[in-house]
Amino acid sequence: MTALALDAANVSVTLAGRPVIRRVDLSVAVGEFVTLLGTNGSGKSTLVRACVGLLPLVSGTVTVFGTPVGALRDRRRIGYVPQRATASSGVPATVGEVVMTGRLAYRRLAGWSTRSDRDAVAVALRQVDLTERVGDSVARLSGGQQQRVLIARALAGGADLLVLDEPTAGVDAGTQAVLARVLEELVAHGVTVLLVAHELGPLAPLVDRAVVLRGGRVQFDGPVPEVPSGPASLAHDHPHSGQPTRAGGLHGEGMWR
Amino acid sequence: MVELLVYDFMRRALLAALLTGLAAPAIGTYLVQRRLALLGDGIGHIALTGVALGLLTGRAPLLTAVIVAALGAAIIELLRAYGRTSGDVALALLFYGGIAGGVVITGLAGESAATLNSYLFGAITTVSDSDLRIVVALAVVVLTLAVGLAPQLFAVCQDEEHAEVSGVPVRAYGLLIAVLAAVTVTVSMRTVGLLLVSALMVVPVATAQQVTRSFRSTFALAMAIGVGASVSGVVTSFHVDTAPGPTIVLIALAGFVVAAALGAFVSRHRHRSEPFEPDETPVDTHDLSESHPHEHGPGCGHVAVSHGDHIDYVHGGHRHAAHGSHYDEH
Repeated sequence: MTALALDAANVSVTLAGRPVIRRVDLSVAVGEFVTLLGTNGSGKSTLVRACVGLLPLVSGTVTVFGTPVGALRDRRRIGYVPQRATASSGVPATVGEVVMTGRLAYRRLAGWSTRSDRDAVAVALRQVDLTERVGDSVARLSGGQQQRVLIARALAGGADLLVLDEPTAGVDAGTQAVLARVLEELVAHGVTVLLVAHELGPLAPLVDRAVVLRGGRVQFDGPVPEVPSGPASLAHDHPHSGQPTRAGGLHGEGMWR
Repeated sequence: MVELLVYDFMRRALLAALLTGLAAPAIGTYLVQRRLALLGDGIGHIALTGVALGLLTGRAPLLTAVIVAALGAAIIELLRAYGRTSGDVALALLFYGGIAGGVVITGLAGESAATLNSYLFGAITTVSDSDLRIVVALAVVVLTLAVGLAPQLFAVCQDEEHAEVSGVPVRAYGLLIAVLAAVTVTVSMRTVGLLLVSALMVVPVATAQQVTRSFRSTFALAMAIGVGASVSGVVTSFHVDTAPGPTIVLIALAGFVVAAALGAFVSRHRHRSEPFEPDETPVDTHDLSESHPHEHGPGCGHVAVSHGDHIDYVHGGHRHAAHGSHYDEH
């Protein structure tokens, strides 16, 4: 049996009394690269936020590396990149300071950063090509560069499971290419990736399996290269007649652009 | 300046001003970072009810103010974190309740508006020895926690969700920041006054960030500016016989104007010498696929992906798009 990095079973989530996720099963095997696709409002972000323990479940369970997410003590195993338009806050902060917060699970109360903390930050910044910007204020960076800062923050923690919520939304092609290269390297080193995306762009070739949500339910869950109805089913070669299904292939709006 | 130290009340007032100038911007930096710059203002209003309760019961108003302000701050934070009420509405509810309660209870205690004024705008001659002992103890606690827990507090204020996933007890830290803000408000009550204390929490931070680019330097510079404004404000208020709170705030605001002008000058100079931000690495959008004997098409066995107005085929981990007689890497 394949070891699971993430296993969400029969998960339901409500927001302000409204059901957003309805009895969803989502599993991600160790080392697998799974993408969660769907149109706006389909529940993608809500599902991953529930999976990392940010939202309470109405029903079901979520386990991360075999432990219920709420009881997971070794939090450094999860690297979470929330959906953010900016990495800055109300007070200036340098790229290095923001990425250093990714080391929080390693740091003691009232302790200085250690050599290994600083080394991990340097490696993470090198991975996202931002070494030169370590001392710059994040507010001075472009939107794409700020996304890379958030990814570096997740990498600095040395996570085994990387959960990225729309890191490619609204960023330029250069950043998408850098992100694809970074994720390719991480996957080669055995990191598990769960990626929420509206558009995959250059990340598409990295994906092992796609899960498509619609209306808070799973509409498709399968390995991309094994979509049964052949290549034409993935193309926009016919008008949109509905949402993706296993039989109909993946043709969500703009998902694969 | 030295001649002022011969007066006992001025020694107490200057020490209180020094500690207030350090503590208020220290906590203020976290409040501004969380975009809760006006929290101190709301807590100041709530603390007024605490002062009034002290006057009514005959207990030290500073102590009752600390307790009521800390409770109010905790309620605001809990409403913000768990309630359906947004942060600003929660603030407003306690804000009005606090000042109304304070005025009514002060009236019931038989105290005059002049008594309230000394708490609302500060009064350096009223800092007693027992007040000073409480101020010193509380300010030391605030500064120790604000500096000692800086990595955790910075992370929580920078990105609450990320911190929570990292295992940081963000609710507890949120409460801690709110309670520390309440304690700071009451520590500053005698120097700046409850109505203007928020200015000493926010203005030095706003001033510092005109010329800084890191959190650490903003934090340190804001504290330095806070000390400068509060000590010079107390000295000025002694010489020109004005209320210390408004004097401190006007000096702090003057500092902001100077820093904003300096920041604008530095920024213009920087742009002149470096007119364009170093941009993203340009991506060659027309990479040719090397040797490609296979011809892609429907049923060729490769996964097809819609890409704008054409189809890419996933081939050996790459995306190939037909372009004339060759295939491009997409």
